[in-house]
Amino acid sequence: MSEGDAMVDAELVLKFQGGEESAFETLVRKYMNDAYSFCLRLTHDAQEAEELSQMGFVNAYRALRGFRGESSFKSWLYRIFINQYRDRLRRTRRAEARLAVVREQAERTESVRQAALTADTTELEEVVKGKIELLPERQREVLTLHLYQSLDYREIAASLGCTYDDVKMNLSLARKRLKEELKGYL
Amino acid sequence: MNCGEVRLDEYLDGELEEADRAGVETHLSSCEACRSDLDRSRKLEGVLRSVPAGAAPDADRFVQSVRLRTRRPAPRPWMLAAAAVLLAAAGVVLLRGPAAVDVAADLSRYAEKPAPEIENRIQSTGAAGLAILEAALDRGDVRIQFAAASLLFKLADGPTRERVLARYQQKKEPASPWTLSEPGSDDEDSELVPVAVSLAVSGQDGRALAILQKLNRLNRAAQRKIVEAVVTLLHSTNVDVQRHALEIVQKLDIEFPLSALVELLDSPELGDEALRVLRQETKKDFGRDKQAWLKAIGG
Repeated sequence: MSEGDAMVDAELVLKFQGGEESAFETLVRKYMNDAYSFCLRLTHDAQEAEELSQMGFVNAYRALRGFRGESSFKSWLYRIFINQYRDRLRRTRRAEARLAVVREQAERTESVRQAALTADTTELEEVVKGKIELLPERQREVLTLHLYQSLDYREIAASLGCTYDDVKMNLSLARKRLKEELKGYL
Repeated sequence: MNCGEVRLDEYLDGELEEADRAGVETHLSSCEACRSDLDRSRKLEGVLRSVPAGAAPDADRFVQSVRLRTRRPAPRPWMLAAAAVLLAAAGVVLLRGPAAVDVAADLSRYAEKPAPEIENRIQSTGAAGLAILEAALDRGDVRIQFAAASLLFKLADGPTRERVLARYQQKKEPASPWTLSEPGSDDEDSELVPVAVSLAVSGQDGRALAILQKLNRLNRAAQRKIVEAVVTLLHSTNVDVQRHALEIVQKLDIEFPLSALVELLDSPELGDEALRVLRQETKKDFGRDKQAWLKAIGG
């Protein structure tokens, strides 16, 4: 994220805190696609991703007046989405069920791995999604924020509420595992 | 620098300072194994990035939905009353810029098939449109009443929702036109939610709670509406309504934003119960420190 971008966000936040409601809508429009795709990558469910991302913005709206700018707005926003996602995961108690389904999918896709080598990208996508899904939760979050949301290590640490070194370690572990599991495609 | 000291991931991600970058590059120029490892990392990035996320939702609809969930128009009671009188005399077509909005016709359409654009259109008419909805609660057609109650729960301010609530809490006698039949999995069943929640928060209508439990299990659209209605009621100024809404949360085990509970921590009557539920749900304890709770749950 460029410094200019962060400046624009900070100005919009200040305007909102000063009573200009439309500034929040500008922020929603700016980040809605990123937020939605992030939630979709975590949940693999379009309806759930839309609900999560919308509720994330609703919570952001409620908390934004208290935002003091200790981190960038973007990191702060992702922290809300992450918490929203974890909250839902915990409340629905579906983590294990989800993992079982994904594991099954991954095993199934593994069986067509050889075929996928020469087939179209859809099968490759399925295999990759399955492998990412099987990563430990923290590694998956770090990888998703880094790879698909283009957050740097410091921004990821701020979003997840962990240290820079945690980010480094989890990203490294995720890569190591994926290199091994996807070696047929590299 | 040996291979164990080379920070290839940080190099790849542009996280290194200039001097460290130069050190890695010097090592790479003489180490085939690390070059190969870096090459595989780059290929991995390419493969991972090739996976698309999926189509984004419609921007206007998304923004509108966030807006509806964050803002509620706050018409003053005298404006509502005046608008109702005027509209009763003048018909129900309201001017909204250059376009006219026939709220009654939109309400009928909404009763047939709820749609966000109808909600938006009615919301754009402000207090006058809401007054028409409130008047429609007296109509004989039960589906129109459901539609009006549902829209009011979505669009109206706290006092108006309290009035809707009070109205349905009075309609419990057998002669009442409300026939809350057993729901199936039809999406239209979610229309029952605002009224069923209203009845359930009276704390006396077990049937309404049973219906909510069933809808909560069967119908996804209804689940969302239950959450909306319950969160709304948690913000009520009436402590009894808040208490019953809290009971619904626990009895149905519904998913809802925990931040709504944090707001109850200041309540002399419900603060203890809210704290108990927060502790139970999060396995954490920040006492009455609302900021700490909000920070912990991201609200």
